Amino acid sequence: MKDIFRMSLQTLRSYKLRSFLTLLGVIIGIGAVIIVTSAGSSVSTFIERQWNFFDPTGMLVGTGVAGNPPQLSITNRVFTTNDVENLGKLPHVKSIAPLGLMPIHGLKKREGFLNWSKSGSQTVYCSNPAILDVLNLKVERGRVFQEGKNEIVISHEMINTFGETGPPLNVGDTIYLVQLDRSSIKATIVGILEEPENFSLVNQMMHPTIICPVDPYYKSFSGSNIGGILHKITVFSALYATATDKNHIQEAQDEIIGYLNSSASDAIKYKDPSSDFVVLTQEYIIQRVDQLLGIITLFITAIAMISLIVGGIGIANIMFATVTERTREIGIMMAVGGKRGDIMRLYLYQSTVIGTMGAILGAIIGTVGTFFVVRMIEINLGNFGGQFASGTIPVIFAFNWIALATFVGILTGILAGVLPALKAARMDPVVALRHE
Amino acid sequence: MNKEVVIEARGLTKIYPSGDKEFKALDDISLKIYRGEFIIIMGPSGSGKSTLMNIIGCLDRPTSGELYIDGRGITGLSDSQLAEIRREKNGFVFQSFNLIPNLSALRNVALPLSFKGIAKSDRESKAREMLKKMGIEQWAQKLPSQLSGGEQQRVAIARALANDPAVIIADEPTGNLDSAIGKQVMDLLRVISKEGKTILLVTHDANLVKYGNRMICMRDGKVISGKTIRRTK
Repeated sequence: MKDIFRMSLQTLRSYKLRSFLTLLGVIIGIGAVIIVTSAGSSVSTFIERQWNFFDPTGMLVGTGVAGNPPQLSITNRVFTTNDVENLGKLPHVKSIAPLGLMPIHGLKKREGFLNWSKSGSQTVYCSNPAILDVLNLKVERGRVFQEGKNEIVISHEMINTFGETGPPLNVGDTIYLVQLDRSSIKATIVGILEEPENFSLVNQMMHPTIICPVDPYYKSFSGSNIGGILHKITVFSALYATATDKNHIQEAQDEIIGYLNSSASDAIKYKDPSSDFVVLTQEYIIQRVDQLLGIITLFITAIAMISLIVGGIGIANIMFATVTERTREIGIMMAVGGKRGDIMRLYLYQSTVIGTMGAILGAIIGTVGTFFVVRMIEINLGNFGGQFASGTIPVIFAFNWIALATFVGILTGILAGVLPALKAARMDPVVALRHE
Repeated sequence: MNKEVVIEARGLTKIYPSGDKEFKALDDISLKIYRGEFIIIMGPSGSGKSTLMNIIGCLDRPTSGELYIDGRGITGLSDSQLAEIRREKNGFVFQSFNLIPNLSALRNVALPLSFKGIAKSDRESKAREMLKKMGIEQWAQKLPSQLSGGEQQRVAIARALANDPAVIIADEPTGNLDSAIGKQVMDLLRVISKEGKTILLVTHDANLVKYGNRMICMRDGKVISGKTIRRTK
């Protein structure tokens, strides 16, 4: 057994170039599968993070069309402070934050006789401190705003609102929010948020730049005439919520929809009857993104698998050539006492050695190659100016694929060797010896 | 002479299909070969001598008839049992040497021993001993392509002897050698024969008859004469 194995190695060594080229086929096949799957899982993880708008248990509640995928609009103001309060009491809802959108016309800052202003419309998020939990935002400097006070929290990139020549904004500064009617409201910056880890077009849209308390800033009312007196009721177009934990997201979602459709809800009165209440969970978003990325990765992996199969055919091909070429040697080995099993093993070991070596080298090259490929993707993302996404792509190895590719490589070697080895073992020694 | 029978054939027949007809390569051959005999088998092409060698060498099976080698009947043996007999009882020497080109002389000689499962150091010392006996131990590490024809044939004889077989089967061993080198090879075979090995040698060359002590002439698959040769020297 050991001797036949040694003889197999000897044969492979005596055909160095041929063995190397055959090996190369397997290495490329396995390397390709590993690079594609690992780069795929790295990019998937990266893209997933871009789509992490909320806390993992987070969700956005609005109106629209329920379904798969749901269509959610955050423009119909239907939710009242009463709803917010009641939703917060549901058993599987951990926190709830209203989303009141306040468009502004610009920002101003005064310091003695100096004036800075920045015009440009943007949207201020009016909510409660729970919004920071739902959106996974952290205060880097300062603290969270208090309700009922003229306090705001700004995002990190807002620091340079007034450009390089203007003063950088800091905690304690007072600025003025210029409203659409050109009147200004005073606001004291009490906190600055941490920059999000991955910055992209997607989360730029979703991340607020200025967050303020509902009172005193949010002034979106729905008139309600009760007993001849016009009551002004604050209404929000959307709500953010989190579930108590990852296992109760569905329950929280069901409870929210259940409440909103119940008679206790105010929202049902303000809602357009043709629309539904819609909840979009972070879990659902990630599932959808995963699904899409999974299909793409699977497709490319299938292509890479073809190269592995081609590598296997390469082994079989070269083994057949070797067996034919060595017909006479096979006859000699039989004449000096080699059994059919010995001859069979001699060739099976050769293909197995090629398969195994190819698998191991392919796994190493695939692993190293993944780093390069992921870095290349990263650099290319940078070339788009970070418009779509930027940041460091984590290298995540698809270990199950690495294991599978290595196993398939070894298996390919064995299978590719079976037919040529059988051909060798079945030779008639008399005929083989006569072979020129 | 020791009269112990090494090979006994009874009614060996080998039929090959040839188109619609059958071709009788061996036709009811019976013979006995004794230990230590040096048999020269002669006959024209197609006389069946190679077929006889292949069957005695257990490379091929007879269509009918019985064959005993060193007391062991080979009828009904499996391929792998035949391989075992080749390994234990037979040593082959071919016209075209038939060494494995990418193995050194030493490893060629050790090859039958490795199929037998003998440890590397043991089979290499045995192989070295055989090469020494053939007077070519200095070429142990050379590849066949680095050796002359005569040297290659000596390696082949060493290989045939490595398993200490009962019978050496030599098919035109001098066919590819010039006469001086051929003579050296024949002298070696005679030495081996004198040490008690049974040798069967197939040849066209009548000059080799003098090395043997019995000649078997074949024609059309039959033995037409078998006579003892009187040694000239």
